[in-house]
Amino acid sequence: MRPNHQFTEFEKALIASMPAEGSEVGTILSDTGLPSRRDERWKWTDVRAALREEKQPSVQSVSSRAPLLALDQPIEFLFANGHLSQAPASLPDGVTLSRGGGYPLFRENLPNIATEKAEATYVLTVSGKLDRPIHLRFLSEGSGMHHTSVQVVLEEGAEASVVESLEGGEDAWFANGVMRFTLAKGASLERLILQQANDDAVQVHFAMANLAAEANFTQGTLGFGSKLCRLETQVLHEGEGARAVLNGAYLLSGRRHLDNTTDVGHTVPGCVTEELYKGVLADKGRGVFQGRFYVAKDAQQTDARMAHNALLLSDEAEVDAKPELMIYADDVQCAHGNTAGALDTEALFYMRQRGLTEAQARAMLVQAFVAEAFEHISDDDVKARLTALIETWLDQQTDGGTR
Amino acid sequence: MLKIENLHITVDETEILKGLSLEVPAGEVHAIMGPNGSGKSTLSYAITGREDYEVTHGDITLDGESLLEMDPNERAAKGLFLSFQHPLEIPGVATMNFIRTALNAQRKARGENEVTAADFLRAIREKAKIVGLSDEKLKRPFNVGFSGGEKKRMEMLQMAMLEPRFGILDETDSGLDIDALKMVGEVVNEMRDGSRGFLVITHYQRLLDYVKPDRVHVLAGGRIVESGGPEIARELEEHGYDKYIQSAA
Repeated sequence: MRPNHQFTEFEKALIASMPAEGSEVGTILSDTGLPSRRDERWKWTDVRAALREEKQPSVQSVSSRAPLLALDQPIEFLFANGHLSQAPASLPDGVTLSRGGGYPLFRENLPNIATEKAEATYVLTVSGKLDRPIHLRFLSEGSGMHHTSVQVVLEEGAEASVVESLEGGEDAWFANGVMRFTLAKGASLERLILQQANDDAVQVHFAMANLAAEANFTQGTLGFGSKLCRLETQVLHEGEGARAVLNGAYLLSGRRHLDNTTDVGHTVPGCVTEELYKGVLADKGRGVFQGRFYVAKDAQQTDARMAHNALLLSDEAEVDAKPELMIYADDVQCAHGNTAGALDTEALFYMRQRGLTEAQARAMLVQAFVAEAFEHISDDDVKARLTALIETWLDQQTDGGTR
Repeated sequence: MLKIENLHITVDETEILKGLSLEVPAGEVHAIMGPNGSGKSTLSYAITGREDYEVTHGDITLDGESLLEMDPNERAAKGLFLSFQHPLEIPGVATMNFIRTALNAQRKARGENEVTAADFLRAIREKAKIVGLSDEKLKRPFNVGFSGGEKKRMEMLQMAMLEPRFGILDETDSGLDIDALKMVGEVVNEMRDGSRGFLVITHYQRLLDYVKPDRVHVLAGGRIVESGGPEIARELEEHGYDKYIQSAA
């Protein structure tokens, strides 16, 4: 047990709920507790502090709600407080659903806990080209806690798109999810994560993607934060010529917190990573961006670029960013850039001189700022719906008088 | 129509305009000429309501109504348009959407109906032809990758679309070739009628060959130091501003 570690009621109950014997995850948890500001990788996102009181397992049902993102003919799986409550009666050719297990541990506690505590690890295997999106709807409600674990396997040359929407009703629920993506040679996955929750909820959504040679992993994120939310993606380039795009935008108001953490490992030659995050912070919103590129000695001709740009609409908003490059190969192209600034007052005046109200001008500039993070999305309808969600957020800022 | 009385403007605690008075009656074009640093751009920003241009004395009225308490967009809706000396690029903002939003925002503020997408498209295509901007340019993000001359054409396109009651052209001629100067003349002359006014701010006389002013004012040291007919512009072209710089100091 960590010296002087005072376990919270939450931690004590969670530890007690782990199997008494043979649970390595439980043993580690009772040794280290939940991640907190004392852990370098969690210094800005203190899960332990956000979850002090004991939580019961959530009831396995939620009230129905319209999807945050309406998709065209989705293959929809609904997780109600962690429980797979709806799945298509029949799956299209090339898609199978099974249960997996026996995964090696992550170095992080929470995804391991999610794997162990989830009702199952559901494994979706895709072969061939799937022309309908897979929609994983993670719905949360009440004041309990729940866990999910899903693996998506793309066989050689397979193509698919997966949308994960993390949504929920009121109350102080805690949702902890783990995703595993396994892309075989030449497989191509377009992933979109959409997150929206209330001021009391705590969410941690972790993903690990393993890419074989020539695989393409493209990720977009749109998040609006919660009391505390962390969206973490780790990517491992394991085959030559793999390509990863990690893009995202976040818009935070009130006291919402969103942490986008990414960690990309390049272990073989000739892989490409492009990363662009855009953040918009109003009120006392708090954004965290941590991006790490690791380039091993043998990973020559790696091309990895990372950028994070934040727009602060309020003096009380806060953004913490930590780009990190660890490069051990000598023939690589790696770059990172990080900026934080306010809206361009000259552009605002120009637009208002043309007749736009201040709110209209601000909204147009914010949309323009964020749009770059979604340029990679191939489906124009999806792009338009994301834009509409951003518009709604912008309207709320104006109505709420946050200016 | 536009009346400026004893205007004092302070920017960053420095007084730039020091008691400027000027009146442009409806239907007239007045030119303001002056050396660099005389306060020409400050005047255009003060009229259009840019933040940080503090009015310490005086008043600016349009048709008898003071503009000083109005926001920039309210002044725009009243019919004020500024062709910027250095037009901005606004990446990510679609040009057509921007101009249409501006037009409809002004119309809404005046209690007029919004322009339909079809009517707007017809009008902007027609006017883009006059100012010499291709369809491809209209489809780009606002001014992104435009040359200096193209940006000025975009200013003229917006003026033609927004049909202001009073237009201010702040060194619109800078960086323009003869063809582009002619185009500016064409747009302004097309819009000239008995009720519209223009203030043309320039350093050189050459734009005034295409936009004939009714009056020319010389701005130096934050004040109008001389007013008269178009002959003043020609005189300045010949002798420069030395005389005024000395008298202002």
